[in-house]
Amino acid sequence: MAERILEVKDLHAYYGQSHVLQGISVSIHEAKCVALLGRNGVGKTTTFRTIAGLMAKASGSIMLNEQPLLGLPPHRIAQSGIVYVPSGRRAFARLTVMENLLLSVPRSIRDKKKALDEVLEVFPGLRERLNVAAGVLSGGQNQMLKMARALLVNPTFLLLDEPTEGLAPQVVYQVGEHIRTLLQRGVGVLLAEQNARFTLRLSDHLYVLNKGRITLERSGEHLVEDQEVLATLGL
Amino acid sequence: MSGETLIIEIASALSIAAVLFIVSSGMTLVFGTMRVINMAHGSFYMFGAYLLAITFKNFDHRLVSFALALILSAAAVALVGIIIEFVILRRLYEGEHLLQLLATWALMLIFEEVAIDVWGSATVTPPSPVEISGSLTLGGASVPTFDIFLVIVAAIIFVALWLFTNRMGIGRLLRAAVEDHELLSTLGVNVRQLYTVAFAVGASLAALGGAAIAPQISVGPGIDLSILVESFVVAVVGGLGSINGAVIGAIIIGFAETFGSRYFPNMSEAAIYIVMVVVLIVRPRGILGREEF
Repeated sequence: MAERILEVKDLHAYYGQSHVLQGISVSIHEAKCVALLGRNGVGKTTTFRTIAGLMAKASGSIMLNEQPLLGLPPHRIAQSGIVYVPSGRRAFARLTVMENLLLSVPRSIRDKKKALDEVLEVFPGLRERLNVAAGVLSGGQNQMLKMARALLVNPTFLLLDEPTEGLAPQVVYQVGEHIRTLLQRGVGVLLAEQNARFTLRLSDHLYVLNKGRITLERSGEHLVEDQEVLATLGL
Repeated sequence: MSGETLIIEIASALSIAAVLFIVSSGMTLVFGTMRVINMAHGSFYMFGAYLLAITFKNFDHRLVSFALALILSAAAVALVGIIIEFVILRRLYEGEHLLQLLATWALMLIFEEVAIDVWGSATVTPPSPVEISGSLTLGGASVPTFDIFLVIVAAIIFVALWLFTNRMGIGRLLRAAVEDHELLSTLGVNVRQLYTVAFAVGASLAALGGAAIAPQISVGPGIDLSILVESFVVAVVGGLGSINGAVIGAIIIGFAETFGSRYFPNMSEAAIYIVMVVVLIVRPRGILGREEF
C-alpha cells in the first residue's frame, strides 16, 4: 500500500465575519509527527477543527490519499481515519471510562472486547479505572482516555490539541511516550502545543503559526537545537 | 372517605400517572437528547389514539389484538416522527430555540386540521379488549381492570426505556450525545442519525400513550393540546430530560388531578398548576432536573 498522506492546501476558515485561517498549508505522512506551534489564538485549534469538519465556513482543500475531505460531516472524516483529539477535559463525564471507550469502537467491528483489550495494552493505566465515571479522572488519566478513545476509531492520522496542557512533568513524559508508541504503529500525528520543547523532541517537521498564517516551516531530526526555530518561538 | 373509595381513587390516580408517564417520557427523552421542546408531541398522542381506534375496530376484541394494534399505531407514528425530523427539525438545530418551538407549534396546528379533515370533528371511542373491560376486587374495592392494565403497560415501558438507555449501545450513544454531541461526532458517530432515532422513539412513546388510553377517552380534536400541556407539566415537575423524573412527576400530577378534583372540585383544573408552581419554587430545575440549563 502506498504511503498515506494528509495534505492540507490553502485552508481558509471563518468565525462569522472574522477570517481566522488565512491560507494554511500543511502535510503529514504516516508514522511521522508534525508540530504546529504558535501562541494562543493564532489558529491552531481552528486548523484542527476545520480538518475535523467542525467549521461551518471553510474553503481550500484537504486531501487524504487524493480523497477530498473538506465539506464532509465530522463523523465521515473520523471514519476515514482522521481523528481529532480536542484540548482540555473533553469526556462524557457521566459515562464510565468503559462506556467512553465502547462508544468509540466503530459499529463494523464485531469483537469489541478485543478492540478494547488492544487499546488498554497501550494505555494500561485506564484498566483499573474502567468502571468509574470519566468525570472523576485525573488530568493525566483524562488525556489517556482521550487518546485511547481516538485510537479505537482506528485512525491513520491523529490531530492532538494541547495534549500536555495542565499536566505534571512526569505525566507529560508519559504522554510523550504514548505518542511515540502511536508513531511506531504507523499513525501520523499533527501535534499542536504551547510546550515547544516537548513537541520539538517528538517531531521531524514543524510549522509555526501566527495570525492564521504559517510564518516558518522547518524539517529535520534536530529541531530542538535549531537556533532560528528557538528564536522564532522565543526560547 | 371510605377505604374502598380511597383504593379506587388511588388506582385511578395511578392510571392517569401511567399514561402521563408514557407520554412525557417521550417528551423528556427528546428534550434530554436534542434540546428540542416538541410542541407537536400531543399530536403524536392524538394520532396514536386515532390509529388504534381505526385498527382495533377491524380486529377481534381480544387483549392480544389490542397489543398488536398498540404496536402498529406506535410504529406508524414513529415513521411520521422520522419524516418530520428528517424534513424539518434537522434544519433547525443550529438556530434559536424559538424557531424550533414555532416550527413544532405550526406542525401541531397543521396536524389538528389534518385530523379534523380525515376523521371529522365527531369523537370516537374504541372498545376495550374483553379481558380487561371489567373490574377486579382489590381490598374490598372494585377497581377497573383497565386501570391496572395501564399501570402494567407503563411499568413495562419504564423497564424497556431503562434497558434501552443503560444496556444498549444506542442508549450509550444517546447519553453521550446529551453531554457533548460535537465530541461524539469526531469519534465517527453519526449524531444526526442518532437524533432521528431519538425523535422517532419519543414520537412513538406519545403514540403508545394515546393508543393505550383510547378506549377510556373520547378520541377527537383537542386531545392533542390538553395532553401536551399535561405532559409538559409532568416533565417540568420531574425535571426535563430525566426519565426517572418523569415517573415521579407523573405520579405527583396523577394524584394532584384525581384528589384535586375530589376535594377542590371548583378548582380541579388548577390543581396540577398549583403543584407545578410549588415544586418549581422549591426546586427550579424540577425534582430530578440537572443544573445545566
